[in-house]
Amino acid sequence: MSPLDDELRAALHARADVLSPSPDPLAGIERRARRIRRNRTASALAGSVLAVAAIALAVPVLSPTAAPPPIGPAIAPSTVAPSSPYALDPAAPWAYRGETVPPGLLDTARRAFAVRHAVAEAAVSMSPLYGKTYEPSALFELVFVATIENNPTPRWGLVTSTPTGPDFAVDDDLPDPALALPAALPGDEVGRLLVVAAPQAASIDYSPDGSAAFTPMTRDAAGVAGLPLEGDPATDRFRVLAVGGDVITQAQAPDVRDRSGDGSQAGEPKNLLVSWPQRGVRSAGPPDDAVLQLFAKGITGTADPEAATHYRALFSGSTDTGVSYTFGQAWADGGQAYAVGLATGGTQGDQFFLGPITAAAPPVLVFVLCCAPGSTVETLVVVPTPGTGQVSYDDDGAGTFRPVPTDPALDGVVLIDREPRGQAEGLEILDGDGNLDKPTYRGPVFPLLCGLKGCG
Amino acid sequence: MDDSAREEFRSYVAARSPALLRTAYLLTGNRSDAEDLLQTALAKTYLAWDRIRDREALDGYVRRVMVNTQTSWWRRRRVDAFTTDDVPERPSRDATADLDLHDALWTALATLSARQRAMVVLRYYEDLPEVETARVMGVSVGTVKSTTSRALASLRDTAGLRDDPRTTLPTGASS
Repeated sequence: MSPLDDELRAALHARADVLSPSPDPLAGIERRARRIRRNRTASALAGSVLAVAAIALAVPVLSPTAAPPPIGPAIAPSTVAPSSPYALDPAAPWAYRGETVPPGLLDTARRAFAVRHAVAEAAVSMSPLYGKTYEPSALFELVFVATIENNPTPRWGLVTSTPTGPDFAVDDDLPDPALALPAALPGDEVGRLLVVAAPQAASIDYSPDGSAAFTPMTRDAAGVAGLPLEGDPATDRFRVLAVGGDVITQAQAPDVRDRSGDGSQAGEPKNLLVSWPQRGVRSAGPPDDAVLQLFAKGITGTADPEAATHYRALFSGSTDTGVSYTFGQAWADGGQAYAVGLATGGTQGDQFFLGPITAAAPPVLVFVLCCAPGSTVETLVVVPTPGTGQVSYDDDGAGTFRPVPTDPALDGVVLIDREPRGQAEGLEILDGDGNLDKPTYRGPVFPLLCGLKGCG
Repeated sequence: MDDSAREEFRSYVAARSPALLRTAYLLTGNRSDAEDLLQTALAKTYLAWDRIRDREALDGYVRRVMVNTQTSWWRRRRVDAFTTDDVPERPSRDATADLDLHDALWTALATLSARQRAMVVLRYYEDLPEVETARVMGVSVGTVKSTTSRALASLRDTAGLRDDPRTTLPTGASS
């Protein structure tokens, strides 16, 4: 604790602790709640006559087959549902618009979102709202709404599918009411503004510096529009109109500068394997804290000692001999992810493995688990990239690979008993089609086990 | 909301509003805005009362609503905030010497963004651990660490306290 911390704490208490309480805190709360509810319904009341006509007249560019269904636990319907027909309700989100979502992107984005918010993947529900390939970069951009179990505030964002994994350009609280989702994005030459509103919105307009007349933005889909941002957009405004010209909402355009400064999420390392699912039984393995304590010691001298550390398990479980294990990736803020593993309860006490910095798209990660009581036999834990096929093992380096039996319960992970410190062994992993000519990996095991503290 | 829920809500407000008002005051910087912020946050909590399953987490929920509402208000006001002639200038080193340290920090606090200020209030007034602060702010623990660190550096700079012996450790010491 620094002296500034103490002085700051004292300064805050000196100001706040002398504050006298309000004489009647309840006074006005119910009245204010009614006013908030009235404001939320104002658009509905104003447009109620037009709502049916708006839905009938809106040109539907809805692609129900272009988007995968929402992923994650079912979102409980709101008992206080948004009253405006133009507001986004995460429990019943706007229909998806835009191009077909690339296979697997929504699932990968959800995993990456869970990592960003340090929650279990199973606690995140994510629904796609709009998607399109940004032509200058040829990268697919997906706007989504997400909820986290036991968190009352839904979130929305924009994620880009990059070769090194999902990249979140936007990850914000969902406004209440959510009548428009504006995103200021980097562009090829200048920044861009993208606004996603209800599909039945008639137009989205823009006014530079807030004083000039509004002009329509370029329509990308029903209720979606964009335009280049030139100059300083700090005073620019946008508005969303219903059929008939009623204003659904009007607000200041977001500032591109907001994205890169305060409040931004800590970036995950580019080599984090978010497309790899978490396999096994996480709860059966050692807790994250245990892994991170040893990881922090292991990288002392190579990373900022003040940086926060994180762990994402890839395979966890326990044996019937009482050994509890977890293998995955660990990283410090600002650094790259390492392959790590921890096993507890074995004959050799706690074993921690600090592996190499993970390649961006490794064919396989390998760990060693030792040993059942009374035994010196080690277990090679082979975690291949998802979608690969048969795993075969050469135990003496003679070039004869024998297929290893698989257990469907392990979801592609393979366990191989091996001689301690065997250095001649080899692995072969075929692709998902079983092509012998182009294995995903064929080579020695030894280099896969080299980390900061040595090999094997 | 039925009568029993309404009574439950009233009990919560009566018990917790003094403490929440103090937090709102530190988030906004003045009493009037603090009462407005707290009333708005409690009104939103009132509307969502039936959906909040975990009553133990109520304070965290109300804090979260206050932080989000204040951030939203701050962004809307930001355009006007610096178009007047009353922009507070950074106190010069000489001016700071004449100010009480706590006053200097309070003045400097007003120059932080809403999110930085919220982090400082949650960490240094509410004494929330990083994990709980992250939960209230809806960010990762790493972001709490980095944002708080930047906020403190900004406070030190703005208040002209970088070389002030009252806020720095002697050379060679560690905190």
